[in-house]
Amino acid sequence: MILDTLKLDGKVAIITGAGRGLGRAMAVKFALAGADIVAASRTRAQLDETAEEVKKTGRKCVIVPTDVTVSAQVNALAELTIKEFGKIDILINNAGGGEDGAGKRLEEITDDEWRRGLDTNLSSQFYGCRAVITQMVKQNRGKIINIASGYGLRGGKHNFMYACAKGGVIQLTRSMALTYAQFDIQTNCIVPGIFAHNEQMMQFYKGGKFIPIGRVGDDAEIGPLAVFLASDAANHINGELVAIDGGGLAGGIAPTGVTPANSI
Amino acid sequence: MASSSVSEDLLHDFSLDGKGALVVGAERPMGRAAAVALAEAGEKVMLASQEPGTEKQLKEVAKLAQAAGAKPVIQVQNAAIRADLSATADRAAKELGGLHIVVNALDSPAFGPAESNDDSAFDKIIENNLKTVWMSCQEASRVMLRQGGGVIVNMTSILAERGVPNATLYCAAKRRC
Repeated sequence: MILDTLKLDGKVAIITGAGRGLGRAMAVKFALAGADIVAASRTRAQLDETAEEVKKTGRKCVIVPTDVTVSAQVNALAELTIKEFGKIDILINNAGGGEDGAGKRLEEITDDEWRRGLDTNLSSQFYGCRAVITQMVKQNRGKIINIASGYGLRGGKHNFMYACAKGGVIQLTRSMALTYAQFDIQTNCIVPGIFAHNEQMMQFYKGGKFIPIGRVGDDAEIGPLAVFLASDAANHINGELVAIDGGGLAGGIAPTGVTPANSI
Repeated sequence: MASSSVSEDLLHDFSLDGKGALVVGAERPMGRAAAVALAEAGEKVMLASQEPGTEKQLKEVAKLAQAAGAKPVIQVQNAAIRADLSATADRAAKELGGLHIVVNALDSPAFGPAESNDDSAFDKIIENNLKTVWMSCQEASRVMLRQGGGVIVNMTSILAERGVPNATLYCAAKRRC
């Protein structure tokens, strides 16, 4: 039965950035699909809220306050997971953010901002992959899902570090896929478009009318896609990018809001 | 294990219950796999062929779909003929109670050195691998627009992104899918 191949019963998933937004949505959905969760993020209070939601499903949730830009902390996250559960089935590298140095022109960006931007959005995912890979090779099994962005495929105007880092995430994904395919470890990439995590963002993006589908993404919508990629249903999918963006990346050079005169 | 809530939630996310699904090219390997998966996730499935004279193969696929819990409907057609695709889309909408999903599993591999392909080979390969999909999308969306929504899944090939020797026209057709 096709539904059975999607189940994550008995699996253990580490999810970074699990304190809010897409990370929390994936944590809850993974738990509903049967997985126990190791939730990481910098802020304990937010992790507590995620853990509360996960536990409502009957699954375990271990919270690990972690700064993903510090490799020792990411290594500790993996070690703790092995100690607690004896294995790591799934890693979702979701933590990241675009604040440092965003909105600046190149000549205004300091060395420090450049490094922070790359650390937050690219090194963090490298640290995550490196921290779990020895265990996954030992298991001869594993699933890694890296969260990129549409900026990983397009340029970012005044958004240098984020675009460069997310482009790097895509190549990290492909290189992992090739290197560890022989160990039955699949690495794939989700490419989210615009998701409004709160009312303020909703207003900023005007609800997403400029997106082909006519609205921004809802955090909960990423859950089923991530479950699918982490499940046995996706065992032959490796090194692939899946955009979840309401059709945003499908577009070419047509300016926003311009449609041919005879458009339906 | 909170098994009932787990299954119910997955079922909610991935179930196709109540959706009408049409597979075009159901006699082919990819079409057959899609048909069986759709049959497991829902029950209203129409199996339409890519080529005529395929009733026997469609019946075999129907048996698998039935074993998976569906009530399949068979439609022998030629996907290179618009009138056939049009009739199939209309019949699917009527018999499945709406046409919500169309999987175009159309494929007609063709290989050989480019210098041996004449103009008629160009027409044939592009028609069998691209025009069929275009027409099937058009006929499906005609029905879907009337309904107010739907999902179309087109199968193409890795050769849409990678060139290989002796597949010039096939790669070109798949690229445009």
